[in-house]
Amino acid sequence: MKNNIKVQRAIKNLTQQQLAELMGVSRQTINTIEKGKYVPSTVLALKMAKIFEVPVEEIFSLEDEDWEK
Amino acid sequence: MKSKLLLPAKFRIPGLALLLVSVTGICFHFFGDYEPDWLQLPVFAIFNDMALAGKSSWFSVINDNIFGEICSVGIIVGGLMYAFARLNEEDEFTTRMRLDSLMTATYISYGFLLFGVMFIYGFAFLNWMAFHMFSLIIIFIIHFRFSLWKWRKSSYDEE
Repeated sequence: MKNNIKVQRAIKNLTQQQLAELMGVSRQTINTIEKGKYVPSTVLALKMAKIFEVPVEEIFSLEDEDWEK
Repeated sequence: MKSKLLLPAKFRIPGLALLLVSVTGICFHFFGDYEPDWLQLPVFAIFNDMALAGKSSWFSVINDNIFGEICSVGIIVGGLMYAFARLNEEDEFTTRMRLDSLMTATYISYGFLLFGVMFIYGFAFLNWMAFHMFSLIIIFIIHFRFSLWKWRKSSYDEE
């Protein structure tokens, strides 16, 4: 799965720390999600969408590997 | 989702202190046969199997040096407190890391057990089992803490 959290943060002028505080997670977790090393839960993804004021699909998108078993 | 099974964060430091003191004690006990005389006390035993004396009993009071037992309880309780106390930055990712570490520790711990069952015999096997009593929690703590350190170090760069 890929994401454009960094772009969305830039649009909203949010640092990782600020986004982390709004979402109730650590800055390191935001960093890990942004680098694509961790897929967040539905709750976190929806929170992010709410903060960025965009649909979830504009932040996260599936790749071909995600369909493999 | 937040885990309801984690202990409050304040358990972490006392847990670590208890664990370290107890591990030190059990090392003195195991390698140096250290047993203070004043801990030779009557204790209640649900089951006592004095194999060497050829007799056993249920629900009896026996005389035993409880230094080893105190250290063992300290390792178990201290280890659980330290292992499962909330982190300051506890969230779903650290919970996931905790689960991964628990699985890894289980694999390694039972690997040790398999090795012991297949290749170690006699009284040495009893000692191996004694080590195995604590191996799961100790390996979990080491693996989880190392994973945390690596993660914090790698995600240090802020953008």
